[in-house]
Amino acid sequence: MNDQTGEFLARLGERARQEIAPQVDTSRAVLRALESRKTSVAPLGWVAAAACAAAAVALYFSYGIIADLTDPLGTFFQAPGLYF
Amino acid sequence: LNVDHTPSTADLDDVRASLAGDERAYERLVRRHEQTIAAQMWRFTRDPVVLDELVQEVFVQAYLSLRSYREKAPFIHWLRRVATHVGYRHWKGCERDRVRRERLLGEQGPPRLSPAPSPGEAAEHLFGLLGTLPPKERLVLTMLYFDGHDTAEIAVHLGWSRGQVKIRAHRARKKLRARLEAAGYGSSRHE
Repeated sequence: MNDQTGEFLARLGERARQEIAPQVDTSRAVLRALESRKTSVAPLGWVAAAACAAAAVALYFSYGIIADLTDPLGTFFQAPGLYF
Repeated sequence: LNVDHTPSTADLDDVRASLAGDERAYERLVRRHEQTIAAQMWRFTRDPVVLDELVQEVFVQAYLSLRSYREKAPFIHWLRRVATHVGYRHWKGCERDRVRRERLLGEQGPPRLSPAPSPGEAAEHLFGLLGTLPPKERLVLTMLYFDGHDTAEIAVHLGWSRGQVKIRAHRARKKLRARLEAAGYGSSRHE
């Protein structure tokens, strides 16, 4: 039965392969799409850089808060630049 | 199928020039291969507007990953793999449509096929039948019956083992047969 289904599909496929696909003309559209991606990538880079900077600042300050909560006496985080 | 495994000089020159930023070179690559890719993407959609979008997406994706083309095989082989990924992603995005088609097949049965269908009718019918399968199974039967690849070629193209291709094709046929029979499309009507 599975073979019959396979034979049926094979016959149908053989006929279907004779079909000619519609003509396309996409080269201009491709170049336009690539151009628009290039222009949209630059601001994204700036946004990503700003987000990283903001995350770094937030981490820096939250580190102090975490240190305050977990080590109120400041005995552990005593290395310069780690605890403030 | 392209049986020549040597990359063409024109393609290699244009790929290298494209990587160096020459847009004209990439335009030449698009023009050289867009009809071949259109024929391939016509297996993934029957809508000419969507076809345009898919072909465009193939060449955009190819450009963005052009550095991964290793120049060992013809450019068109690599491009066809990119096209398969784009088509597969398109199908995955159309899952809701597939479920709807599957329900329709269950309710009404597949459309009747004339005894001597034209190539267009046969393609439309085959597309409709395979479109009721989940994307992975649909892909393997599309490559097997629509594109006319053998299991070894499909294995290389998709990066699966030949055994995996055979098993998935077997399961897909079984599922399709069950659906055809449930819809009153018995083996005698396959003729």
